Amino acid sequence: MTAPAPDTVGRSVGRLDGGAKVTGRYEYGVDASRPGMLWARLARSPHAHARILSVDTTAALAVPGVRVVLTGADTLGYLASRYVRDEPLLALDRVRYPGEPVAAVAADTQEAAEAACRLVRVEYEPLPVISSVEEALADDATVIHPDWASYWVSPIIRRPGGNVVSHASLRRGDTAALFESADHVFEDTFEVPMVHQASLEGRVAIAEVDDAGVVHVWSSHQYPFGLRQDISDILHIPLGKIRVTVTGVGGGFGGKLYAGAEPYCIILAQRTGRPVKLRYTREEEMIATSPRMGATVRLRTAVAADGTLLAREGWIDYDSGAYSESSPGVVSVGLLTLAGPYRWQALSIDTRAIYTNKAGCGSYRAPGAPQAVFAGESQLDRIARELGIDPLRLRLHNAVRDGDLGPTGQVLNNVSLVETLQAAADRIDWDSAGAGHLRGKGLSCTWWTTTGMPSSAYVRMDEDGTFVLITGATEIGTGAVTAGVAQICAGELGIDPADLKIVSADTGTTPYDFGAQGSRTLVQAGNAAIAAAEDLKSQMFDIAAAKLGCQAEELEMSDGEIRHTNDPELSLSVSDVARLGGTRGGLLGRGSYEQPPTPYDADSVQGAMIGAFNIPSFATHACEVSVDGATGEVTLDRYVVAQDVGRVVNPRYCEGQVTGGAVQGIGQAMFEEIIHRGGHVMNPNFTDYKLPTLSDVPHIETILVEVPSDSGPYGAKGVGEQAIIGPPAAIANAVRDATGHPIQRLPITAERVWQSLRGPGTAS
Amino acid sequence: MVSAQAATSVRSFVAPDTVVGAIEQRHRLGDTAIYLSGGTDLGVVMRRHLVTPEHLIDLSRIDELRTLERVDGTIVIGSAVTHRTIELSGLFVGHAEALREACATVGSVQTRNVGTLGGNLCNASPAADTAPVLLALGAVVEIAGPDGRRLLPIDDFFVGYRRTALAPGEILTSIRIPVPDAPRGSAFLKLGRRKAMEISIASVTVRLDLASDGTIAAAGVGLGSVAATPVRSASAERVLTGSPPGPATWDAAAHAAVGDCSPIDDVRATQEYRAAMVPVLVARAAGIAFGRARSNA
Ligand SMILES: Cc1cc2nc3c(=O)[nH]c(=O)nc-3n(C[C@H](O)[C@H](O)[C@H](O)COP(=O)(O)OP(=O)(O)OC[C@H]3O[C@@H](n4cnc5c(N)ncnc54)[C@H](O)[C@@H]3O)c2cc1C
Repeated sequence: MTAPAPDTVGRSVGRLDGGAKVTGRYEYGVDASRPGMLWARLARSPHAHARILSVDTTAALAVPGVRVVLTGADTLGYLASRYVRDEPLLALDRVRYPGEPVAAVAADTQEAAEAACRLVRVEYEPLPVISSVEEALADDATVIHPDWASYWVSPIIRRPGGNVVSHASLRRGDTAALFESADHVFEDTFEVPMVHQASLEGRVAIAEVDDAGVVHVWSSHQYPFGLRQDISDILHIPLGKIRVTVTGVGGGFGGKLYAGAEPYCIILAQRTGRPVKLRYTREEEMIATSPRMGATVRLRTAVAADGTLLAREGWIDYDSGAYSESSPGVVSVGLLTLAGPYRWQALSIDTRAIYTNKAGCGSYRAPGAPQAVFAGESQLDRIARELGIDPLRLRLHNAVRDGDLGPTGQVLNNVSLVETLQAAADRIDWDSAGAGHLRGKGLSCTWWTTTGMPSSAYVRMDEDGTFVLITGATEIGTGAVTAGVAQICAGELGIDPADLKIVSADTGTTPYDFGAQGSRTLVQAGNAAIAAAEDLKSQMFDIAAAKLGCQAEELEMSDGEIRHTNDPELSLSVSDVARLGGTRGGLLGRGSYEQPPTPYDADSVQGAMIGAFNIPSFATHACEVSVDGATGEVTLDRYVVAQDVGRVVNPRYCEGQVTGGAVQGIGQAMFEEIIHRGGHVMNPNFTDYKLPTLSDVPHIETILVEVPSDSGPYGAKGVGEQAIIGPPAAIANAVRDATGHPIQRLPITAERVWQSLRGPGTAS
Repeated sequence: MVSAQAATSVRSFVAPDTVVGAIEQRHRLGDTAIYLSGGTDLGVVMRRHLVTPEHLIDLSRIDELRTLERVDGTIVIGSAVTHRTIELSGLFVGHAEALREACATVGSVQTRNVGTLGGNLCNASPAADTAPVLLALGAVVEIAGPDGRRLLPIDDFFVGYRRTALAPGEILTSIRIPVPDAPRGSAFLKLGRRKAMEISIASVTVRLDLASDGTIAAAGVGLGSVAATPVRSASAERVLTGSPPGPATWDAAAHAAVGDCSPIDDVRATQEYRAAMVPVLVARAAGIAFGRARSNA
């Protein structure tokens, strides 16, 4: 769909929801309410791992205003987690992480619900706590899921047993031979902690059951159609009896892709006959919702004397926490990102997700990638340093180019890595003489996918000629729907985007969309909107052609007019068309888009749910730091991101995505870490979970590179996730350049840098 | 039957306009009453149900507690003066730069607009940013209670982990910083995980008064986040007093200061790192304080 772009594309058009947001009128999930609504709250386990001996709800039920208290016994067979159904809605016989729900309360007030939760009496018998991947993999480790063999598992996933959730592997070429003959072999290990999406708005939902038994859910969610399927699968309710309406979303970042608060609201609403709302507190968010998996990454890389990368062996053990959630998908992303955007003769990579007694992990902007890329790109700098090759030259020498094969054999097209490398290096003045004592520069390169899967849209022309875009896509704050897709659709209709109305993200009224995930919305929902607009236009042209006495193919539409291409005098206004016979109830255009899967060498991988990156795009991060030699404090002096976005649809929001991603990545590089002790989160608040503040990040210098894709709207590629991947390695490389000491563990705190400065033996 | 715990335990809120009025209210309402200043500490612990007062006595309407002035050789700061007021005041230049610096790092502008100096001290966190500054500056606090008013050197104010010398019902009314005739300079340095909205890993204040012969006539060294209370480093002060200014003296003082702290491990930093940072910050703060003292001469 690389047709010429309409003039709405490439402009920083303001988003349609902007006014309501800045004036406080926008309705988020936390603002929503229903008449007669009750409040839910979950009683949670204080233990990381324990057997449940008994549950007594008598005292909880006696709290005035409490309507119902449900326990594991009331929710038998309700199992969550999309790919390995291992997570009971309410714990029945055992709890597997601190904060696991053991009872659900609905009451007239939040206070009554909270009081009741404190009075749910549970007798526990503590079990050995598995607090790390290492402990989970020990031969005599306690098995966290003894009933594991009985769980439903989606196909493809490979499960070797013990505490391993899933295992994916990639084998291409003869790694053994290359390691044998290589001039150099480098081996390193890296550690990355769990980090949280930390959306300003946490999980929040309302459920109501109508007289016909239809469950209506309002949720702050990224993927209403996925949520509807999850609800159906978990609670065994037919899909047709569920309607999901997305409220305003106060941040998602992957944390709102699966069922969360919703099933609890539903079972409580079913029992009480009243609408029920559940809103997680910040502490609940931090202890009991799906953060990014921590990881241990081990890498061996065989390199020729001239710096040519030959072969890589890699192992990533991701800490999945107590439940699988999205980890089976994430492990396959680990395969692709640990290889990086480089040419290899052979690869052998194994990635596993491991159960531990922590909250189950999920998806977070570019799931699985930052961990792998921190390792791969850091090691690349070590290789450059030890071979005496400039890190920029080493990357340029090995970078993938058009026509190369990706790690699993996909043919790479429209490759832009070299362009981004050069743009970022130029901007940061890479070749200028070393910045001086305790100052350093660092680079990192990333590649990432534009997730495919179906999107559909309707474009409706109302009786007065007003256009309404009806899309299943979800606006989660990026502007992808309320700016990008709107600009595309309005452009195709020849109207000002501000005149387009949008209805979105409601399974009751909008057609299917695979959700706001995988950097896909602008590309896939954009393509669907183009198709729907085309369909509508052809219906309008047929009607106009009959009236004007010409052929439909001879007509074009812009500025609210349908004109003959050669004779502009021959025209009809859109509102005239709306009034003509056959259209008096308006018209409806329909469009669906699903990209064919990207071909790859399926024999090269096992257990991988994602085998190739669809419409891959590339980026380079470059930064400059200064280090305080006495305290270890790192100051980011400059930060540059050059990212290929294929085609810029809206420059302002495109830069916003790149900036926001980079800032979150900087958070993961230098500040953020969920600190556990025996499975318990020690910093479940924004005092001790350190998100960077404005004073901690420099202006992000963004360079939008445009190497068009073949199938995105006007060449667009996915934008949203990629920028979060690069910062840890770029910053670690800059710190190493400044101090001479490697940092192989995140976050790069002053204390860790100080430790590293005290000598090689203590570097961590 | 158990009653539902309300969102708040608070049943009444009073806002007296005199100190005496506040003390009377406290007497009348008893031990379930608590003084409220900006609420930036109290609000947090109440929300977590760690403190569950039934009556709030708001001190923010009491004019006396909101005055900031210099009275002869003393800067008098009412306990309800906000961090932001101090940050923006010209009163501290040449006398107590460190306090202005400390107040300017508290939380964010929003926090500083409501959070007060008195609240920071009465909350008595070992990480309270202004506490070590006032220790180093040799401040004196004025306390009002049912039996009248008393003055107390701030050294005697922090009696234990999160405990102060205030008897039940007493109000901290003002903080008094003596301004000497001799040239003085002070500096506050805070090490944290981030540059704003941060509880310090360690903080250091050094105050130097210069003698006419250029040596150090008197010194104050305060340390934050490295012991159960904010502490003063008498050892470092002894090294500094009477010594010639310069890096060798700063280093000696820095090493002496380590002995006066007993840091712990927590989620922000290890004990080892804290102990190692104290001398770094002391030496740096001393250098900055000296530079200021000279330009204040
Ligand atoms: C987001 C945020 C960031 C913060 N950042 C920092 C920081 O960087 N550095 C720092 O040091 N602190 C920080 N704090 C803590 C807090 O803001 C300060 O300690 C502030 O000075 C407290 O003052 P307040 O007026 O709000 O006290 P309040 O919360 O009103 O009171 C605190 C305690 O003191 C008692 N009290 C108050 N005034 C008196 C009085 N006159 N007499 C007797 N008792 C009294 C109260 O009863 C209460 O127990 C932060 C807090 C928040 C919420």
